[in-house]
Amino acid sequence: MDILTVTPVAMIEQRFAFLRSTAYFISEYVNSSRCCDYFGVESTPVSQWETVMQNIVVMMRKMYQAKIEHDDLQWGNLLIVDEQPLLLDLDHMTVHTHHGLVYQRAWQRDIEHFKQFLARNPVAYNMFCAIYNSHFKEKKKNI
Amino acid sequence: MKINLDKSKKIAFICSPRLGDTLISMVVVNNLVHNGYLVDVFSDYLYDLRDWFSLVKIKPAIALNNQQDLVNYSVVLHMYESELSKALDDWHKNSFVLAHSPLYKSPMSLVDIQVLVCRDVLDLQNAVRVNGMQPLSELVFCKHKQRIVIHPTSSQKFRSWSAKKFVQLAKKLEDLGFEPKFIVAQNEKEEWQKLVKEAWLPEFKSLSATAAFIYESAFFVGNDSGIGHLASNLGVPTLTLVLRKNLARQWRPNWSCGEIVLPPCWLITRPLKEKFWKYCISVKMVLRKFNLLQQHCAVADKTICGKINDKSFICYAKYFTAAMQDFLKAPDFYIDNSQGPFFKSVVGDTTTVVVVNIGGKEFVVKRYNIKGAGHFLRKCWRRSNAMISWNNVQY
Repeated sequence: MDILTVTPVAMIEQRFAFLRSTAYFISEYVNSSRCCDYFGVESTPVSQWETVMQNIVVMMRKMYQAKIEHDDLQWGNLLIVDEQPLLLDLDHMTVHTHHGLVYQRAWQRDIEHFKQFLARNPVAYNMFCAIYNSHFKEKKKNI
Repeated sequence: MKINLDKSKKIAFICSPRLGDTLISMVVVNNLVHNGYLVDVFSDYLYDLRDWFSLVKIKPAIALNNQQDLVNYSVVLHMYESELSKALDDWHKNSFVLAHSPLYKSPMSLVDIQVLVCRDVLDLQNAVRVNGMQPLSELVFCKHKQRIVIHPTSSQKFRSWSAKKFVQLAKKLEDLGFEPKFIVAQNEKEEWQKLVKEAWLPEFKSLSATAAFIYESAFFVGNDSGIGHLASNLGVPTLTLVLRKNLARQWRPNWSCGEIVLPPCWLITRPLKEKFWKYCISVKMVLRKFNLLQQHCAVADKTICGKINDKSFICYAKYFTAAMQDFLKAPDFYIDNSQGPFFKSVVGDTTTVVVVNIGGKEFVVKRYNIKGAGHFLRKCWRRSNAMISWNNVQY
């Protein structure tokens, strides 16, 4: 799929007879900054912002091609590792079978959710919208 | 039903005339041999594969006329009732049909049923679900990483998916970079030569050569048939097209990593399923299951599944150290004593996310909390979010 995500290590489920109770998901620790800190309200724009934003849009395009709905796509669920976005929190992720109306709606929901958080930093928001609109809509014709 | 066996006397084991049944019944033979019993096996299929079962003495199947050859055996075991078993009932005092055991009606795979038969009917110690088939030394497992063996036929026509769809599937797999190869019997060859290109139809001189070919392939796709069981027995991942769920429960190839393709659930009642199942399974459905099989196999080879106290776990083998085993026993202890950083640790929240140190290495643990009785009742019967995350990360 070529979308960066955490390296899984283990999964534990506690059970009483057949009833499931607490569960645990263990992954490798990645020492990096979270997208919400990187593009946070108090952070000042740096030259790498555009590259990182480009990479986020490329990741989104791969998700769209693979018909993936994340269901909680927001800057708190993205880490920035070497200028590449790393996707977290895949508990509600769904892989759709068609690019039909259901997926289009889900995709719009994901993007609006992402924008809603990013709007707290207007510079980052405008940068994202510009890159997303130019890059994504052009490429969408080829998808 | 209990059968008393004597280690000093020879046992004859009469296999079924079908390949799948024969391979499954070899689980009983293998356990008998490992418990110190002397067993002679009678089967034509196994006689072809005798080099693969070096620990057992294998003879060709006994014809009804030659039943007197069994007089020297103290016990004769048959997997299923046959003309021979009925004939032996008249004069051999220790001729038993294993399939008469009520265990054969258990809702589990036939391989596991054989293990129960070994334990409860034959009273064997440490019964295992292995049938003792060993690959020939000159062969290399999965040597051809792109080769997919397709078995498009089966003993009964209604159990076979449409030939045209098999050809379409092969073309799609070829487009994806795989090398499809069709395995068909000699008498079916002429018909299949018209449907597929010659390079897709390899020739085999014997069942042993077919087994060798399958062993060096990467995947097997086919109908519910003996060749599917052979592939599974050799450790090759299998994708089997089955017409009914109940049939799959007992009869699916069940040794190696495998997936099954069933008709949609809206196709109800047995006669309808048997008539229309092949029309309701599309090439796309099979390809989707094939992708799933590829993913499962990639993970299954590298993971360890187990249970510690009331916790069941899946862990990648490379992380399964002694420290990790301690963690798996008491994850809450590690979370409560963590030095952080804490990403989410609000009391009463649905999740706790924290970095813990396990054996000197840092890992992120996400705990999916149960907030109360109502939350437990809503969640307890569903798949956990941890399991969903685990599956999605592999995607």
